[in-house]
Amino acid sequence: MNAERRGSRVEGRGSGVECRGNEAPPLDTRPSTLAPRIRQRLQPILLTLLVIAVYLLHQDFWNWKRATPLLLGFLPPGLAYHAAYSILAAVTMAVLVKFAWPKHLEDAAPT
Amino acid sequence: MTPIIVILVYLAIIALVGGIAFRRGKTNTEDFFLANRSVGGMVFFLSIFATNMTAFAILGSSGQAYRQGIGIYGLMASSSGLVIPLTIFLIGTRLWALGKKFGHQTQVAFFRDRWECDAIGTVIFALSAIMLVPYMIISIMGGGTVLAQISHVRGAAAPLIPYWLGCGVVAVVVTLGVFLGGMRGTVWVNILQTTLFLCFGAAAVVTIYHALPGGFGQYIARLAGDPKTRFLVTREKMPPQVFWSYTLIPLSSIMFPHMAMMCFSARKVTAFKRTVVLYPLAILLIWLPCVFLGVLGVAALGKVADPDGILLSMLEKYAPAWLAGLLGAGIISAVMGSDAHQVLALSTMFTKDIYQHYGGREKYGEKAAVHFARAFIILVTVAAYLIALGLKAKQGIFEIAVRYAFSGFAAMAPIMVAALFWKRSTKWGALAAALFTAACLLYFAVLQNSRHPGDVIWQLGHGQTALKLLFINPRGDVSFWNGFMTVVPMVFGSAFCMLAGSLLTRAPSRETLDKYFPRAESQPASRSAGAAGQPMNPKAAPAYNHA
Repeated sequence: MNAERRGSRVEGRGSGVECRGNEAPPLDTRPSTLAPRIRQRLQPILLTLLVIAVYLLHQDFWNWKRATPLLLGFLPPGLAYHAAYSILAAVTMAVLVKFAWPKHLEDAAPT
Repeated sequence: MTPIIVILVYLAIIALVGGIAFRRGKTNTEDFFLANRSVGGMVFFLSIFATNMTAFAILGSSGQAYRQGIGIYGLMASSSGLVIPLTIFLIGTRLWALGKKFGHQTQVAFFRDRWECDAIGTVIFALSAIMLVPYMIISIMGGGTVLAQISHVRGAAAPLIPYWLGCGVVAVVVTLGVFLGGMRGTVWVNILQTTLFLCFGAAAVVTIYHALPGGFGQYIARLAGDPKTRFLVTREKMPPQVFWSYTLIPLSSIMFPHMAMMCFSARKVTAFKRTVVLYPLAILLIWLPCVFLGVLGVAALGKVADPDGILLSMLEKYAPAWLAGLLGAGIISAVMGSDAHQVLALSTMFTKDIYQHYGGREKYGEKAAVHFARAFIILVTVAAYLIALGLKAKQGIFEIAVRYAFSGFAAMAPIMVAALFWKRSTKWGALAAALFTAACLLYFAVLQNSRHPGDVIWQLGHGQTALKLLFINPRGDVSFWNGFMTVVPMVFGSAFCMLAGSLLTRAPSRETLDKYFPRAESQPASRSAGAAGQPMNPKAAPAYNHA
């Protein structure tokens, strides 16, 4: 957008910039490194917060004295909650595998 | 009689699998102990899960649910479903990479190399072995209990297979399987066992559901409606401090030598991906029916003599004999699967960390190492069997495991975390943490057996306002401040010892640090590359400890 306003023509993302006559030199239109860097820094924080949140959800004090209603007609609420919690734990691990997998370890070889 | 025949056939199949693995194996220790680091994908998941599916998980959980109610699932299972995969993800993958790169076969070998110290490895070996034996004992006790209960014919005074014989049969079959098959045989048997247990377990739950008039709901509603039994479907009698304390117990999992060995045995690190995601679901599938049937047993059967056998009592009453036999075989198989891993881990540690480390291989050769391992397997199993017979009348399966094995291994987790992620950690810190753990275990065991409920051991101040730091709770367990379990001061105390001991002493040599933290050398280059927005080349600086 800025590049067009200053008279330069952008031909596709990252494909180079053409200048016309005495027009001002083009701006660097390569994709900003800021967004990936912010994402790179935020990602571990968000994942850590996710793990902490899931850990805290284990302490379901609100279910402590509840005996009813029975889920599916036979599961007490405290047991149903923790069964669901196990599924949440699996989802959390899937998220960690997707976004925080230690890929560098895959290259380990005997020395 | 039918259940016994089913179980005996099953045990014969297990021995056969061990024999086949024996023929496929080679006579070197890496093959015997780690199946040549060739365990892959689904096999790895099933095996690592079976490693943790013990008598404690099946018989202990249902027995404890019978006593304390549904809270047992949240207490151990759901917290394990998060913490164990997390430790496998963060620690197991790093252990695998270090084992692959430097050839470590046990965690003790890693600690020795990481901190340039023989003694630290020997101390950790001794401590691990002392804590692992109780775990083996409960497996043998679990097997003996199952066989005795299943072979008990209605009306007869004694079971066809008495407890002592049942323990003996389990011990012999496990020993044979490990003795012949090593890690390969153990893994094969584990796959068979986990699959069988899941299938037969599901069939048993459905059968019991149909056998109960009115289904499960009516029985649970009855428990909820009676003020005397209401606590079983809530957590009214479960202190929140205990509930939270238990979330530290699963830290023990990765510190069990057999778990660490399983991590070393994977063919590729990608095998861990499926394992960590499926693990919580597998826990759900095993623990939920066990806990639920344990609670249901109170309404369906009333008072029983041995709560740890409640699952089998339910099967006896509500399932046909052949299905009870199959599930009994499934339970025994699960019990034996974990026991086999423990026996194998102990013999691996003995052979690698003691026999070979102190010159046995040079003296007697590589082939003799496997023979020494097998002799050690027999010795340890006989000792575990004798202790299992002696302890039967004294303590429940659950208590033994938690007090002597789980808490101790959980307290050793800070040592592993420091070794992998903290460059500045030293052998002195690790030694302080290991000795602190040993001292705590000994001290708490003495208190447990010498003091009475209500006794205050340590307190600050006097009279009504005194702050009780350590006391015996009404159930007879040693408790920490405000009712927290002893695992809390053990884990945090061990972490403090690790921290203080390391900061007060000299760091390992530069050479060792570069070996385990190779990014240290290339960090400035990597950082500048990162700052310029260039992707870092993982091959140029393979870091094993970079989270």
